[in-house]
Amino acid sequence: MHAYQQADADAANELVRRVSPALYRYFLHHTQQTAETEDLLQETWLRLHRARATYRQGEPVMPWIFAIANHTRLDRVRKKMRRPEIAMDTPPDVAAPAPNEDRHPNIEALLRGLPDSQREVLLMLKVSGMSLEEVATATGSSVGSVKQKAHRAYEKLRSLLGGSRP
Amino acid sequence: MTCREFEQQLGQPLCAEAGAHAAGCKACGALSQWFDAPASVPAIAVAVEGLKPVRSLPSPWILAAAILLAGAVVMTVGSRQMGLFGWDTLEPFQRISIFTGLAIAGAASSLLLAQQMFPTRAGRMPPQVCLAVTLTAMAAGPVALMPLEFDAADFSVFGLKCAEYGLFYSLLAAIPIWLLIRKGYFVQPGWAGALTGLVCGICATVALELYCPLIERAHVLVWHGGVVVVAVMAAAMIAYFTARLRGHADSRAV
Repeated sequence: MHAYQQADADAANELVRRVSPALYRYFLHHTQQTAETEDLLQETWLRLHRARATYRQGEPVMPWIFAIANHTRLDRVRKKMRRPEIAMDTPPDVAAPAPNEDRHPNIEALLRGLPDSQREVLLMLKVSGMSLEEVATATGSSVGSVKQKAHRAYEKLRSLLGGSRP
Repeated sequence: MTCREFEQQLGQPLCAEAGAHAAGCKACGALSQWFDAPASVPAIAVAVEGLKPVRSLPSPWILAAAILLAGAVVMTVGSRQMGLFGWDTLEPFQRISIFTGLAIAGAASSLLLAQQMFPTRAGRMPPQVCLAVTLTAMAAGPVALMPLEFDAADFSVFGLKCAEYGLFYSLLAAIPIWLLIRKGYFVQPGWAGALTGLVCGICATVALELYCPLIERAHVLVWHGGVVVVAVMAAAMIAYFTARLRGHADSRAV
């Protein structure tokens, strides 16, 4: 990240290569549409590039990146709420089915039923592979709150998937 | 292993005990399979051209000190231009209470504004709380410390003059403060704008308290406090609409 701030093009490419898969999965689980996910990914990189001076050396990179990514996603959601698109403009993404559709078609739908804050925490923790501390920094909450949100999300998912075992 | 203990293993290679739990528990097994299967990610590459080096922003404490310093310069210029008639009129306990309160409010809102420049938000007071507390304290101050000696003629004549000076010095404070904060990434641009307006308004209020010899409750509440409220609202609206315009431009660029 420091090399990227110093205008090292190789470092910039390496950062994009390493971080994009995690960002892509995070957006894809939220949007369920590859075209929108790719748009969000590009917009996030545009914003990350503009905001690169706000990264401070020695601090973890992922919370900084995901704070901006999440802000980009929320901006898109707000924009959609202000200007709802006609259904024909956003056809269902039949060309690129969501991951695991063949095995667990319901989990993606169940995730969409979770409150936004719980889904956000769950995806950062388990899909993007961030630690509890990193998620807490990215979302501006405490580690305890992150744990609680994740646990509530799991409980809800488990209950919808057929109950849990002690 | 319980389902709750199993949660900690999700997203990582499962140990033998967790594997046995997943095999026996339908819900945990389904969750585990879903989390372990990676999404297919297309190859992502960028053409990086014209990359310019940037320097990391200093810590929020240093930025807050710089914002305060900029505000202090504007207050000094303002009080030198307008005079210190208010300072001479105030009683010692009023001086201590008013200027200590304004200094604390200025320092707290400057620090919060500096923190808003960074996208990660851990351990930060919500700007709404800072605004509510500061504006309430600024309304309570004149009620507690100043007498009510309302005079309709003085109220508007002196009031308009104070409002004019106050808004001018808020605007003057906004220039160096904007130069300091413009490189930040604001997750809540509207609230960050409101905080900027608050800092500028506090700077103007200090200059007004130093200048204005009319120590009267209604005058200070309406005209001095009004400067802060107008500065907060104007800065919040400017920041909000600027961010919206920039957001549209970003979407179009993508």
